[in-house]
Amino acid sequence: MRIYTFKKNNSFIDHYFKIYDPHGWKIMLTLIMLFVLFVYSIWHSAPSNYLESLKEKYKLISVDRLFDYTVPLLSALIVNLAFFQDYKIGTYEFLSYYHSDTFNRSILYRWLFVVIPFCIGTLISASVYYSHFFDLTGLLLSIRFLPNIFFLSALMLCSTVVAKNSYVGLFVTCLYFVLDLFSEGRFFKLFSIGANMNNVYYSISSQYYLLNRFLVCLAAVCFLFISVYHRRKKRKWV
Amino acid sequence: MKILTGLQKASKGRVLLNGVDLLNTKPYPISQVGYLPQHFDMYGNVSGYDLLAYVFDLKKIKGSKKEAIDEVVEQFHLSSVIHQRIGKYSGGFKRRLGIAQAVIGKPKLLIIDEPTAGLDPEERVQFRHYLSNISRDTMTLITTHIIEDVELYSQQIVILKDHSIIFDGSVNTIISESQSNIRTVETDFSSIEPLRKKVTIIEEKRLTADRFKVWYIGHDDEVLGSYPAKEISLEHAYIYFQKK
Repeated sequence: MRIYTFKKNNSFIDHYFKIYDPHGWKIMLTLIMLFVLFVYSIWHSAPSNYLESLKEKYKLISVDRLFDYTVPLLSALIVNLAFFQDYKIGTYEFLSYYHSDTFNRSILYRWLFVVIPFCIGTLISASVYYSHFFDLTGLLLSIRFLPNIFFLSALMLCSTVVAKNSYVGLFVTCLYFVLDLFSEGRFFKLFSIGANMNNVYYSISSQYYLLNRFLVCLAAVCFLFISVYHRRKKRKWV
Repeated sequence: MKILTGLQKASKGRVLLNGVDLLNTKPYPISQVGYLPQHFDMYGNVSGYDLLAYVFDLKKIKGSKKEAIDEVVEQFHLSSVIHQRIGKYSGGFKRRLGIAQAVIGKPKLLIIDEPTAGLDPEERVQFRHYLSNISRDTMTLITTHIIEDVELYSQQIVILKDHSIIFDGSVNTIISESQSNIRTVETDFSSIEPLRKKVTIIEEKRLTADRFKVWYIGHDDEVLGSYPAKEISLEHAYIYFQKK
């Protein structure tokens, strides 16, 4: 009888908790935040007439702000924390050498290690928040917020990687966040992450809302592409 | 350095390692080229052993991981700190860990950027010994502004000026080529300033309270009492090539 065995060789996964998150305190911090979010969602859930209020074109700002703005900001801040040392002590150059493919997949994996728990946490907490228990309506309502997490986290990553400076990433992301929040989405229009909070679906149109969600996702993909693409500038002699 | 390590594209030219074009090899052959950047640092809460294990896997080195790590740990005398957090390492230990990660897996080419920058004199001497030992088995390419780094052990020196190679040869060749152009003169303090305006001075050495010996680039009859310098150091030759 022939026996086949195989071993999946993934250096990044094998070493993640020894190199990028020793003792797992970054993931612990993420999980603690998500747990607090979950508890908050149980105790301070959305009003029972939430959907009816939306259909009446009300903007439920204080209800939707949590998942439209606060959770994506927390996710972006954890991304900043995860990459902070790379640009503070210059480790990125050393790591770039060892991830010399066209796409630096380690950056993408590290980003996913933060964003995936936030997405799962949001799906669970937002389901509870909006429908008081897990059901299809709650799941559909919670999916609305995932593009915001992708977008803000990818913006943080992109601006950090391109500028090779974590503070620049923090500044750019916070600037976008503040302008978008206080202008109630008017400043960035189709690229606003406040489409749920500002009830764009009913107050403008469903097409506008879906286009906004699509463009926010597309922008996140573009930011990720820019972040992981290995830019090897040509050396020009003077 | 960045072009050689694949971190930057070249606008023209090729980099061949034993006939293999490094710049067009995808992915870049990290197992064949060890690299130690000038500012080597790693997250402070990672242990040296874990870093070496990670690099071993990234390079996809065949064979026993433990044996390979133990070998470089012993070679660079890291056993006392290898399980400690890198944040606790001194500058010298960090540099040694840097060279250990570059050497692990026995690459064919080793590229080291400013190997002794930031080290104290004692650590510099020790690090040079490591480099000389490595260079017996591995083609070792270093860039440095510190002449002593290359003076003792380098077989071939390349001097760059304004992005062009202005010298490529051995230590003996560079000294012999510059020897006929370097002269020396003994003078007093008051004569040094006029001398500086007249010729390009390479080195000044104080002999007594008011007597100085000066090495300069020049030819016969320029300075009264001068004579061809008998002993030329590599530093003299380097400055000559930079200033001629």
